[in-house]
Amino acid sequence: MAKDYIRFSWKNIRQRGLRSWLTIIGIVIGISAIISLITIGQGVENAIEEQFEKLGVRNLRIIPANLQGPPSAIFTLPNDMIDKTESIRVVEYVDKVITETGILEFNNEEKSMNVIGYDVSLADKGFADIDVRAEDGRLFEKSDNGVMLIGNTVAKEKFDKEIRARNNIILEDEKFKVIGVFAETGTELDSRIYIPLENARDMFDRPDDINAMIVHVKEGIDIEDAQEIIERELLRSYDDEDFDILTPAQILEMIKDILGAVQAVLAGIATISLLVGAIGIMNAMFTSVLERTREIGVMKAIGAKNSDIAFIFLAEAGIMGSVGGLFGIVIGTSLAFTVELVADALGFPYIKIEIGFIIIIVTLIFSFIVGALSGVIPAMQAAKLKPVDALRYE
Amino acid sequence: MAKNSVIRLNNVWKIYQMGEVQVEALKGLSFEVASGEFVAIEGPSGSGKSTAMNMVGALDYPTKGIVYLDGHDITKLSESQLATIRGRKIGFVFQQFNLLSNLSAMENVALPMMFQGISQIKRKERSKKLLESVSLGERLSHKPSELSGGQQQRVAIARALANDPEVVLADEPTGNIDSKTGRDIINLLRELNKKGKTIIMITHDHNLAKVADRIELLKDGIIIKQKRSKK
Ligand SMILES: Nc1ncnc2c1ncn2[C@@H]1O[C@H](COP(=O)(O)OP(=O)(O)O)[C@@H](O)[C@H]1O
Ligand SMILES: [Mg+2]
Repeated sequence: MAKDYIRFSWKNIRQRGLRSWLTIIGIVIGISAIISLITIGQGVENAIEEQFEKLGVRNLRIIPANLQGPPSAIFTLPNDMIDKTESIRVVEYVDKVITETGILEFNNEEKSMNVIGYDVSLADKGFADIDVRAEDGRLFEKSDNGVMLIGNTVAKEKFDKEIRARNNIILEDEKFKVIGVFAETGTELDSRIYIPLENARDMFDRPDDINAMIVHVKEGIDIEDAQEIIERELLRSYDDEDFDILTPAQILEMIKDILGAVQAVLAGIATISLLVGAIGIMNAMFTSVLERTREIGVMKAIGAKNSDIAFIFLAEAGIMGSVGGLFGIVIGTSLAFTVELVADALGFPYIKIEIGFIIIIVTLIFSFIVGALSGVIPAMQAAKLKPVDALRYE
Repeated sequence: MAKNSVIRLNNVWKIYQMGEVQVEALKGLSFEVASGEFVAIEGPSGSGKSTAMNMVGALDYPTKGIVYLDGHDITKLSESQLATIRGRKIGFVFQQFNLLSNLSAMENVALPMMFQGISQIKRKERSKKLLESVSLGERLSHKPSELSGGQQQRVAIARALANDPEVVLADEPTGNIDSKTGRDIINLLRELNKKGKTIIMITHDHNLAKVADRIELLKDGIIIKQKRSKK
């Protein structure tokens, strides 16, 4: 029987056409926000965890203190900290990097790029430790100068023409020779270019400082013990406001915290739009009860019980919620995939969207319940109408 | 109470409270309708005809007095029990037709059956047959707005018959249609009566009332005269 009533309610919704669509906009927005929120959040978490497995867990990162997020050019570490760190007994070696952005010119196109100045005296040690290979050409050698290594995405997708080893390329008006292209890693490395540290120091006028150190800890030493020892040693010469030492787990935590904050904001937006959506449905249902007062009287006269009337209106509200939810899911999912694509294109390959069956079902049920709840009071109002009064209503 | 009486009103009062003022719409109304009868309730505007119909049709509770419908005292029944009784025992025909505007003729006729839990296949089958019986077999999927007044009222009559009720209750059924088409509607009601349906028709028009077996003349909320028609 419920099926018949639902079909009947569906007819009424269709009948109101554009007004029904306007009514469900709030729900559509709310549910799209929730869906994109959950899937993007989950997607970032998936990707980040994957990244950290790839980047290895034997490294500590030393960055300027109070710097939330990835190394930046605003705060830096002094050069002498490098020697101090390298001389600590738990340290195997230190990768030191300068991160900047520069204009890369190739084949008459110009693109802004993340540029890493990398210490070539270590040759390919740092890359080998995290399993990064060159798929075309070679990695750095000790005396390299004026050469460049290129991330896989940069080489293949940034310019109309693919960049290959032995191509010449211009960075910030200086000529470089491409010696190799990294094999794809699925990490941020894919969207960067690497040049020797000394070249970066000249080019960006950074003779005295660097942005970050990646400390490779000696075999057999616990990563957290190493963190403690290094911190103690560095504190002899520096203030604890000068640097931070992060384990991979801490970096992961930090990123998750930022993510959590962003998610909280989005959750707020989602809640507000859902609330607005619910009020919209409630309002539409009140209007509908008023407009159909006479109809309600007729239905009661021809045998509809109060519960039948209540059910019809509840079903209407619930269906509007579900339809809103359905569109919300479609839009939210498209939004999430778009964000993934855009992020990838911008060199932030940290989002891997997956849409689960469960989340679709749960969201649909949820939006039905939101709709139906919004319909409860109007439905009760409709059910309570006295048939005689409703029939007299003009 | 006579064995075969379907409806009996016993000293029924209906008093409406309009703010300070009390409106006594019915003042001790008593009458009885036997199964198979065609009764007209005739009276001028404001005499309480529609209020009487509300009592007879179990649409409302009396302020005082008892209303028996098919042996049940409706004052003792709950709203949902009344709804069920209305749905099964009474078919309403209204002056304004009161069809649902977004449903087709067939869907309108099928609606009372939906509230009785009859399956969709049976509803379709029966509503089609009923519309054919009122010569609207060609108009099954028309919306009310696509039908003339007389056609709409015939759809309403078909709808009134949907659950094969004991009684068809018609309140000014020709009030909104021209007199020639009105004749057809009255004839339709007479035919139904010949086939055994109890008909109660409310009208202010004596010429229409005359087609009934019996006329109850209503004035100021009370029956002032009862006439058997001479046929
Ligand atoms: N719901 C109501 N509230 C107040 N007064 C009403 C109501 N229904 C009917 N009345 C009054 O009761 C009297 C009888 O009305 P009604 O039964 O509609 O008469 P009729 O159908 O014969 O024209 C009228 O005076 C009318 O104004
Ligand atoms: Mg009237």
